[in-house]
Formats: sequence, structure tokens, C-alpha cells
Amino acid sequence: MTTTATTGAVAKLDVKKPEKRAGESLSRLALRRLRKDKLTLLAIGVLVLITILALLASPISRALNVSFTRTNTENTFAWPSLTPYEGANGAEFHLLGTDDLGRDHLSRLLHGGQVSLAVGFLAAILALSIGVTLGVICGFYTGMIDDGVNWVISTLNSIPSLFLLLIVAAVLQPSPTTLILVLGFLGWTGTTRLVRGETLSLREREFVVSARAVGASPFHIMFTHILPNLFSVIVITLAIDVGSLLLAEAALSFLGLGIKEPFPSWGNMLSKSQEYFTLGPYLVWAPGIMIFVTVLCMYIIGDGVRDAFDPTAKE
Amino acid sequence: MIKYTLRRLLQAIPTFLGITIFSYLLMAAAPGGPVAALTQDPRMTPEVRQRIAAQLGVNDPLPIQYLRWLLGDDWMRWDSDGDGVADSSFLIPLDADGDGQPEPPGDQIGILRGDFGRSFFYRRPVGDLIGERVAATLELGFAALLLGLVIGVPIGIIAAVRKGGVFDNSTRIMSVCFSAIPIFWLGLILILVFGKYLDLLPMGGRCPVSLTGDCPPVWGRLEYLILPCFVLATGAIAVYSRYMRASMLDVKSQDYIRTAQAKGLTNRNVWFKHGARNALIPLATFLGPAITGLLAGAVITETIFSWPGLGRLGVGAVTSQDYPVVMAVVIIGAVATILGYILSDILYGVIDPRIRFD
Repeated sequence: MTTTATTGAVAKLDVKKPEKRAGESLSRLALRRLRKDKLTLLAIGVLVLITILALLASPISRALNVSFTRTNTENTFAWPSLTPYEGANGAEFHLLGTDDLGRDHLSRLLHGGQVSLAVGFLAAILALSIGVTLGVICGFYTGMIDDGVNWVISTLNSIPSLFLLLIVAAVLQPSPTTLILVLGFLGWTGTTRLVRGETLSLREREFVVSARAVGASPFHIMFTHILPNLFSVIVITLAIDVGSLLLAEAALSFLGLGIKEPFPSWGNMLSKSQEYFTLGPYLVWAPGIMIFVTVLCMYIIGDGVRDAFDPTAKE
Repeated sequence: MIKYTLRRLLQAIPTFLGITIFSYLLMAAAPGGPVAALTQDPRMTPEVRQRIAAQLGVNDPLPIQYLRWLLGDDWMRWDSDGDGVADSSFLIPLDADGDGQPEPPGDQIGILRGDFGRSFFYRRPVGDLIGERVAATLELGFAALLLGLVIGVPIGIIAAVRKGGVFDNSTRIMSVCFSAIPIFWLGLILILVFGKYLDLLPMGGRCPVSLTGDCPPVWGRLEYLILPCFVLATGAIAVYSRYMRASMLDVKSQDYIRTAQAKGLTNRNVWFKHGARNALIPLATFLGPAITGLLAGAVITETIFSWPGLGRLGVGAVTSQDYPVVMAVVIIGAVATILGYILSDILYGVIDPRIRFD
């Protein structure tokens, strides 16, 4: 009699929670939540689309018989149109028009996308690597190293970021590579603070204490016990950093201190547009929209990942 | 309180020194060093160049050059008997170029005493250049800060009160958009639309061009302030509305709000008199970051709108490699930031009696 009652109770419990997945890991749960988050999925989709278009810059330019460097003094400030321009090179399709030197705007936009996205992503990865490494070390060891790094952070943070970028850009006269290094080496402070705080709380947890008790080396603890627990922080920071560094690159290039002509980037394509308000006002729209949409996607993805990894969030 | 203020000011000294060392090293790493432009005039003979280099101290070791920039050189080489010829020196040689004649006494007094040197480009003391432009930057900065608060704070309060509603969702989308939009582009678009297409507002500048170069008081030229102020304020609006919303949500769940509702106060009284007052407190800590944000934004906004302020001066100086001006702008920006952080910490304690400085 008692046995049947127990089985009944168990069966009832199973019926009540059919979706309960036993022992589901946080990252698997996050993935499952992300798949339901339509806004984040849309942002990822748009971002992938922009990246693919940027990567296909050369084939697309060839197909339209245009080039991002070829100048044409006969055909400057051509307005966007679907009718081809008949020049010395045959029919050229300037879908988004041409700029002050007669270069195709769409082709420059796509090639500029390669530069801007590459600078944003690589600089963010660099900043993140420095930030996470220093953050874990500071949080784990504390003491002198921590004080030293904190002093550097508070010093760097006391200079308005753009001023700092300005002087560095003035001294280095950056190429795309140095620009990545500059943005990366100046952009790690926020990540370090965040990771340091997380590490400080992780190092007091039981699994770290027991790892230490069985004699694991500090390096082993940091790498295999602390780092995996920082995964969500790292993904969120990466998304936000790519966005904000892309904005920083655009601002610097706009001011003429980042990527320089003839290389296009979304920022430097806008730097002269103010002078062209009379002749080619259409030139101001596309690069700005590209920056805005890309950064917006990165921020939405960052937010979506944060929600997906939030252990306190309800289903 | 005074003790706490003093301690914070003392703590700021190593940070300030760090900034000066860091920015000086950066400048020293510039091709040819910070004073190369002055000694590279092609019309100069090598002897003259040598003499000027010795006077400027270009050949001194880096730490000495840094000290000269920071503290001046009037105590390094001076004239003790008043005959106009230097006769004593400390740290640096009396006769730097080795021609048997002592160099003239030092005449710099260093940035700590407010001497930022002379601009290479304008050929005038940097202090004067800064003095002419600081008012324009302060005007724009304060206007933007005010606009950010006036728009951002009510949005945050209403969004929190009606959490999950249409207003909440739309303002949250707006706030993400405002932080993702490149402000230089927003500025360009607004100039294009309001300045060119609609022809409602001026396309840039601080006041109408006049022969004397004087500007009327700010209420006489508000139309010049509208666009740059709004562009600069977008970031502040985004941050303040988000922050205020979070802070208000925090307050909303507290007991005294329920008490206020239970005793039958009107909604307006509950949210604005009881809720918002307390939710505003954490906003004080945002003054420091707000100042950095505004200064960085001012660089771009002033450039686009031809606003004659410090940011535009800095960008121009970077392009023309006018290092004394660049350094001055960076140091002033850093000092403003440090003071902003200290001020916001102190304000926090003044506004909220629960905070104790122990």
C-alpha cells in the first residue's frame, strides 16, 4: 500500500515538471534561452549579414564593375542610381553614387566595413586578453600587484578616453595595425575591474579552496577553475567592447587621426562629408547607418547573452 | 567631512603625477621629441640650432626635461646678483652648449604653477589660448549636463513607475540607440536636416560673426547652442535614464513606499516626493564619469559645430603637432576628471545622511 502511494507521488511529480532537465549546465541553459530570444537572434543575423557583405567586397565590386580606389574626375558626386554610368571602363553601376573623387561609394562602404570590423574585433580581443589576464592575476594574488594595477587603472581612467587616444594617435600616426594595438592597450581597464571582482569572490568558493587543499598550483587553479567560470563575463564584455571600440575607431578616423585615406573606414568616409553638404549630401548617410546598426547589434547581443546567463532569471 | 575631503585630495596626488609622467613620456616618444618643431626650421644654421636646443634643454636627460616641464627651470639656472647673466645652476650645467658663455637664466615656471609654455602654432602663451576657450567649453558642457538631467531623470522615473509598459520599453530602446549612435554622425545629420534642409538653425559656430569678435550673452544666441548641446547630451540622456530607472526600481520595492501608498497619498506624491527624492541620491556618484564623458564628447561636438572650445583646440593642436597645447588640454581634462570624481563622492555624503566617512 505504501509503495504504491510513493510511486504515485513520484509519478505526479514527474507529470508536474516535464521540462525539468536534470543536471543541465549553465552554458547549455544559456544556449537554450538564446535560441528563444528573437531580438538577439535577429541582431546576430544582421551582424553576420554585414560581415559577409564586407568580406564579399571585392566580388561585389567586380560584379558591379566598380572599384573602391579607382578615381574618375568626370563622374564625381554622382547621386545613387540604378542606371549604369557609361565610361571608359564600360557600364559601371554606382548603386550608392560616387564620392568627391569619383570613387564608388558602395564599394568603399564594403571595403571600409572590412577595416572597421577588423579593427573593432581585433582590438576588443586584445583588450579582453589583457583585461582578463590582469584581472584574474590581481583578483587571485591581491596585495602589491593588485595595488599597482589599480593605480595604473585609476590613472588611465582619469584622462578622458578620447584625449588619451588623441595624444597616442598624434604620436604614432597610426596604420590599421597600430590602431588595433592602441585601442587594445588603452581599452582593458574596465574588463580588468570586472574580472578582478569576479575572481575575488570565486577564489573564496569551496571548489577553489579544495583545489588549493589538494595542492593544485596557482596557475592550474586560475586556468581550470577560475577562468571557465568567467566565460559569461567574457562573452558579454567582448560584445560590448567590440561595439564601443568600433565607435572609438570611427571617431578617431573621423577626426583624421585613425585610418587614413586612401584606405576607407566607416569613420574616415564621414570626415569630409560636412564639406559636401551641397554637392553630395547622400554621402553622409550610409557609413553612419552601418556604424550605428553594427554597434547596436553588438550591444543587443551583449544584453541578450547577459540575460541568457543570468542564473536568477525565470524561464 | 573635511578630513575625508583632504584625504581624497591627497590620494589624487599620485594619480595626477602618474598622468603627468604618462603624458610626458608619450610626448617624448613623438618623432623628434616635443620641441623638434622649434629647432627644425630649415633657415637655421647648425650653431643657432645648437644654441636654441641648449636653451630649451632638448639635450638634457629625460627626467630633467620632465622636471622642467612640471616645475619650471627658474630654480635650475638663475641669476643671483641681478646682472642679467646666470651665475648659479642646479641639476643642469650653467653653460649647456659649451661655448664658454652661460645660458640665460631659466624663465619657465612649470605647469604646476600654471605655465604651459608657448604654443608652436599660435606663437602665444598656451595659458592665454586656454583662457579664451574655457568659457565656451564650460557653457556647452553645463548646458549638455543640464539637458541630460532634465530629460534623462524624468524618463527614468516614469519608466520605473510604469515598468514593462509601452513607455518603459520605448525609452529603453531609445537609450540603447542613443549609446550606439556615433555622435559625430548624429551631429552631421542634424546639421544637414536642421541647418540645410529646413534652414531653421545655424550650421555651426557659437554666435553670429561680428567685426569685434564679441559674443552676445548666452540667452541672445540660444539657437547656436541647441544642436551641439543636444548632440553632446545624448550620451548623458541614455546613461541617466537607465541609471535612474534602476535606482527608482530599487526604491519602489521598499517598505516606506508601500506605507505611503497605504495611507492614501496620491500617486504623484508617492512617486515624486517619496520615491524620486531617494532614487536621485545615487545619481550624485555619476558626476565624475559624466565629466569624462562630456569632455570626450566635447572634442567631437566642438569640431563638428565649429564651437570655439578646448576640445577643438586640442584636435587642432594634435593635427598641427602643437605639443604644448596638446599637453595642456590633456592635463586640464584630467584635473577636471579627478576633481569631478572627488566632488561626486563628497556630494554623495552631503545629500545622503546615511553615508558616513569613517
